[in-house]
Amino acid sequence: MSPAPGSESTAQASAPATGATAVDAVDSPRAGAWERFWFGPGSGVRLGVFRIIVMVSAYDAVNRFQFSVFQHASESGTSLVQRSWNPVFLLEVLGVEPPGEKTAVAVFWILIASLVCGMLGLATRVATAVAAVLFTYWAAVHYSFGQPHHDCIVLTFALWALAFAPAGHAVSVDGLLRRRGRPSEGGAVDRVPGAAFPIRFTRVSAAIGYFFAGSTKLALGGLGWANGYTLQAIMLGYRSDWSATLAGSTRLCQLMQVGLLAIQLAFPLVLLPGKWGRYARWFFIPGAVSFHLIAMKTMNTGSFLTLWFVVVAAFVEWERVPAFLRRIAAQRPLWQRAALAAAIAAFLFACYRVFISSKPVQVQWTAAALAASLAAWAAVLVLVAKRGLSGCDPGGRS
Amino acid sequence: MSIRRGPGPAAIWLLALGVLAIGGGAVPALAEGPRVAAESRLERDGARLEVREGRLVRVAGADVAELEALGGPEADVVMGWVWDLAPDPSGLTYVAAERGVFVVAPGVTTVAEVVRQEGAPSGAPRSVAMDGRRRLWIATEKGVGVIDVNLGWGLCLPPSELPGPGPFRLRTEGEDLVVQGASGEKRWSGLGDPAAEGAFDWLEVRVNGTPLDRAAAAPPSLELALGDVPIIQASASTGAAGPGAAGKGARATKWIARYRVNGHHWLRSLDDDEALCDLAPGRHRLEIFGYDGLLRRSRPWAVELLVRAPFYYRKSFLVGAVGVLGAGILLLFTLRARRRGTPPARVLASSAILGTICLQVAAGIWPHAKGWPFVGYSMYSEPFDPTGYVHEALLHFQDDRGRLHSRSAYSMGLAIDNPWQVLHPLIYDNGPAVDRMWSIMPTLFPGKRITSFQVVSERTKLTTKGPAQVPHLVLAHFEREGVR
Repeated sequence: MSPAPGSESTAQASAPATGATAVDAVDSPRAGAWERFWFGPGSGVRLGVFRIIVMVSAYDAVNRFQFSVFQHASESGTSLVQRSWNPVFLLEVLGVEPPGEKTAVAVFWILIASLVCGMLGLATRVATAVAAVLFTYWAAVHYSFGQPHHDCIVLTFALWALAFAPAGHAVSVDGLLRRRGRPSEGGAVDRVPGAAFPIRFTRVSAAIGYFFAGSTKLALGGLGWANGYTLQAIMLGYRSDWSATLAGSTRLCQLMQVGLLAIQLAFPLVLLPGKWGRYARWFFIPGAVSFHLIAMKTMNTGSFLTLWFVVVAAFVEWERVPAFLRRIAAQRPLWQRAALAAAIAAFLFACYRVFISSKPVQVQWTAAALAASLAAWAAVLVLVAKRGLSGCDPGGRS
Repeated sequence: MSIRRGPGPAAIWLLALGVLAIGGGAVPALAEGPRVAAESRLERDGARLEVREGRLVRVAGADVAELEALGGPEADVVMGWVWDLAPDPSGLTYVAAERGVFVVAPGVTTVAEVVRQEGAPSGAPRSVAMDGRRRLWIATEKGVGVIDVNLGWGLCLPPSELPGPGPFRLRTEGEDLVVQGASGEKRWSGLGDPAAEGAFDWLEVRVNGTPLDRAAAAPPSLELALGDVPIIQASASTGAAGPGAAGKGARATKWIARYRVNGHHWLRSLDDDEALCDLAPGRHRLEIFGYDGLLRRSRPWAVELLVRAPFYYRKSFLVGAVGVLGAGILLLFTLRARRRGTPPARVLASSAILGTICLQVAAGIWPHAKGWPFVGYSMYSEPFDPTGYVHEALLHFQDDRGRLHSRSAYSMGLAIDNPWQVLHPLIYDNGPAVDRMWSIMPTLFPGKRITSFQVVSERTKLTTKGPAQVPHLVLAHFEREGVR
């Protein structure tokens, strides 16, 4: 079975653990399903990869939001852009005022440093905690100058959840340093106490988000929302590359609206345990990603990278990717491997042509740098999994 | 090339017979036969608008295409006989036709009707002219008036000010408007006089009975309960400095006042309280503008409206409710922990998890933007139907080679979540914002010399036959030499 999207099972209480007392408590017969679900052990590798993708997504958001925060902090853009400070409740309750220029610069660089450390898995506990606090502040300030959006909700909860989990156990500099000089632990099972929590919490948050995105459309717009004209209007009001082509057909737009509602309303099915949940994840995760990718080309409402990157990160069983690739490499005939490699290359080239090539050169370089860093981390992951340096058996299920 | 304007032979005969039938001794000079216009209208890229046999056509090389109006969802509106064209410095062309006033945009094959709202001259238009401040003057069979080209409302000149009975023909000469009627011509000057915008001392504005002072350093603040609708009153004094003194070169005997909320470009009639009925809790800026009979705008009378939040949005209630929820959940897990022997740290963690999930669900049920990150998902939930227009706010830049560059505020990196954050200052507070825009032009368009730019609202009409592009609105037009 291929590794994506995730098939995390909650009934793993009897699997061997790596010696932490918390696991024993969770796995004890007196512990309920609630404890087992939230505090049970999980794959350290999966959590490590999840951490990296969440940090990359947060970096993207921080980078995008810096325009509005710095603009008002430095007064440089106030003659051109008219916005006022209308703080979100969180800042209002805490009595937080808009930052001055020095504060904004300090917060920005500390936040970037914490995200980079979080990405590398260096001083991970501190880095993830600082990143959660400062990212929430940074996004809240940005939204307090404009209109709050929902593209960073799941990301924010994921960052907070990471701060309370052993996110630096594997695929991290911390992990490598901790195991330096020790013999290989290749036979250990990849089950880290508390490692399941951030991923499961992110999954639940994503399910709530998608469900209410769909149900609110029905509650406010009624069934008439899916009449085709609504999507036409959104596409034409926020034109993107494919807007004119796809908005030309009302029937096609209506079909897309019905499909969107179906995916959003039924998305919580991905939380089902067992094979039905697995089937649902195989349908809804690619469905949601496709929706966001198509939306990027049909409406200029933002990339929502910060949402679907995190969703993908939470639902893929990353620890099984190397074994999956090895199995393909070992068991398939050469022509099938070549065909698969060609298909992947064609897909990547198509993604480049469709989503990146038309962007400014700075964006292209940023995308290339991010892709290179992710590829480097993927290589590290494969290496770690192969040599057992993660302190676990990559084939172990969580 | 010349344009032939006027009715066809059959119409001329009918008109002449009608005049004879009612015993008129003199046929008004302006209704005599087809008129020949002195010029056609040159559009962008070498295309040319012409009126041929009362029909509006676009000539581009050897191609001649008739332009028609796109109307409602089921039936197209027809322009009827085309009488007159008025060029707009922004590149648009306004058309006086038998069935109304229409607008044509370069490159767009359909024509949109300029829907005349309250105060605008009624009746069939016969002539149109645009002055240097982009106000559209319309002469109809019933009179002469001026309208805001984007919103359609306006004012009429009193019949006593017009040169005899109609029909009238209009033309602009520099800053002057010339109305040609049956008894000769009458000229209005000073239409572009910005000094007039500072006047309006004769107008008094009150909100909920509080008089507003434009000279005050800061606008007064009025507190309202949620759902309260502020009452705006505008009245002209009856003394020597009455409304009749507002015009220069013309005795403007009418005036109107309109308002806007939070800097929106849509100026509403005082009778239209739609924008005031649903004010969200928090601070809002209400501005009232006066317009004299020549549609010259005053500086605004401003007031800050502080809408009190209902109890369930107040800080104390929200903090209390979250506290009660948290305490309840904590109690639940504490009782559960006694039976199961769960450690206290896990009780706290469980309470935080369940509390956060409850808040996420509550935000989904009662979406409110200020609750971020418990924000809800109410965007893009408004349904559209095949009768409305879709608007896309853009900036159009024209370089010295005549090429047009269309950019959104997003793509220029100027706006994050709302293009109007950039466009409103350009439209209404055009001093510093426009200067700033000119100053960043070399960065935005390296190697190009931009000669003019516009704030436009691209419009697409949703129809049962599919979306159709219609002429855009030009909300503001700026040139290197000055501001229009």
